[in-house]
Amino acid sequence: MTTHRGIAFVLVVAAAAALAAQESRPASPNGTAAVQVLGKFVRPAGRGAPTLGGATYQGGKWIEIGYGRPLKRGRDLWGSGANYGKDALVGTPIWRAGANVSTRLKTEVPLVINTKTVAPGEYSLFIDLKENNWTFVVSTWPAATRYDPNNKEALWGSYFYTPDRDLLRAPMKLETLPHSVEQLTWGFIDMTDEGGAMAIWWDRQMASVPFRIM
Amino acid sequence: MIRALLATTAVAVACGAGLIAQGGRPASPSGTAATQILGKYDTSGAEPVYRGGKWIEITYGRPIKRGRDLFGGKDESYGKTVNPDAPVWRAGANNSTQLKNEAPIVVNGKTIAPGTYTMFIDLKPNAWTLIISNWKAAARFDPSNDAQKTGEVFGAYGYSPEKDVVRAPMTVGTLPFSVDQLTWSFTDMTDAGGRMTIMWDRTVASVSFRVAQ
Repeated sequence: MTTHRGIAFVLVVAAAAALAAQESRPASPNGTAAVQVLGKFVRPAGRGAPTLGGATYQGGKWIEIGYGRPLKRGRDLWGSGANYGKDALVGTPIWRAGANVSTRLKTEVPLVINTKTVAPGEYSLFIDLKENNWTFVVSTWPAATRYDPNNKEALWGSYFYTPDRDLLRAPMKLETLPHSVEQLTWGFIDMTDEGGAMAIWWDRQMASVPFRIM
Repeated sequence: MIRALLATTAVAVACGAGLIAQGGRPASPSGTAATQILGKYDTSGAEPVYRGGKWIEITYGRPIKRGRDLFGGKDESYGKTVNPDAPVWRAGANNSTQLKNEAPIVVNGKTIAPGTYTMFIDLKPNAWTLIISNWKAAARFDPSNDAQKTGEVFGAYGYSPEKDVVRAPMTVGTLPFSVDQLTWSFTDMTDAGGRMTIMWDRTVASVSFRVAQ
């Protein structure tokens, strides 16, 4: 365990160096993916957004994913065989599916993923990476704002992740994109008020998991 | 002129309403697409570190489809959902979409010197044209803004083509899924160049660029 933490520490120092690399601009900028559901288009008298035909969208509930956005920078991201996923994991038990801090899901509405209800709130997202077999993990592990190996209450990225706080696991649908996406991107796809899917794109890999809105 | 000004004011009020929809949270959150080129991996440490790279960034407002038919209009009404009343589409939301490049790039034969530019898309059915412009992006809509005096536009309001640096035809395609939130990305990147790509709903459109030598 001490050795494990020691290795993790070296990796973190390296990660911090990478983070502060370019003139203090983070090497993996922050990003968000956001959608709104269950709202209504209403037309206030003489007001409203022109792009919404003079209406405004009111009463919507937000679903958001906040994450660090690493760049491919010419690397082979996934590897293969025994080395599959190794570079993305940087020695951690599971992929943070982002960079720096843990990837976070914030939902204002209850969602259903793989038959399990996700109550409104904030969660950490991880992906268990196996070749041709990705598993989406929603966890109640809180997110730490910085790396601290003594912090037993919150995780920074996926360092020291344990599955005991998993809320659910769901298999992801894997697809190949016709182009290579340089910067890791989370997005919401095929959205209706009934639900949609959360998708991640990086390089030519696309992976998605469907969800329903309760 | 007064009629135009009144119309503009109405648009401005409407923009304000759209901008701050839900409890102060913008209806179209801002976002960034970023890539870095021409750096080298320093492998002297425990982990390789990428150093000396030059950033290329697109900053933009990210509107959400919210069930609308975005590009479905035919002929004269094509593009009117996303761009009802500006000369070209801001290809984003709120203030103008901006390109910031630390290295010179070449788009459609034209060299774009390091700097900050505004970007627009001229929307025609199956014929999208990317515009890189020297108009400055205004931070907020000001109905009394005289673009010719300030050199600034908000979104694409007040855009005119005389400050175009380059226009480039975009490759337009259809995605097998619908992207809910407008997304700019850099795709197929190498140190020689790549593509600037916009996805929204099932439409994907891109333009290639190369890194100037």
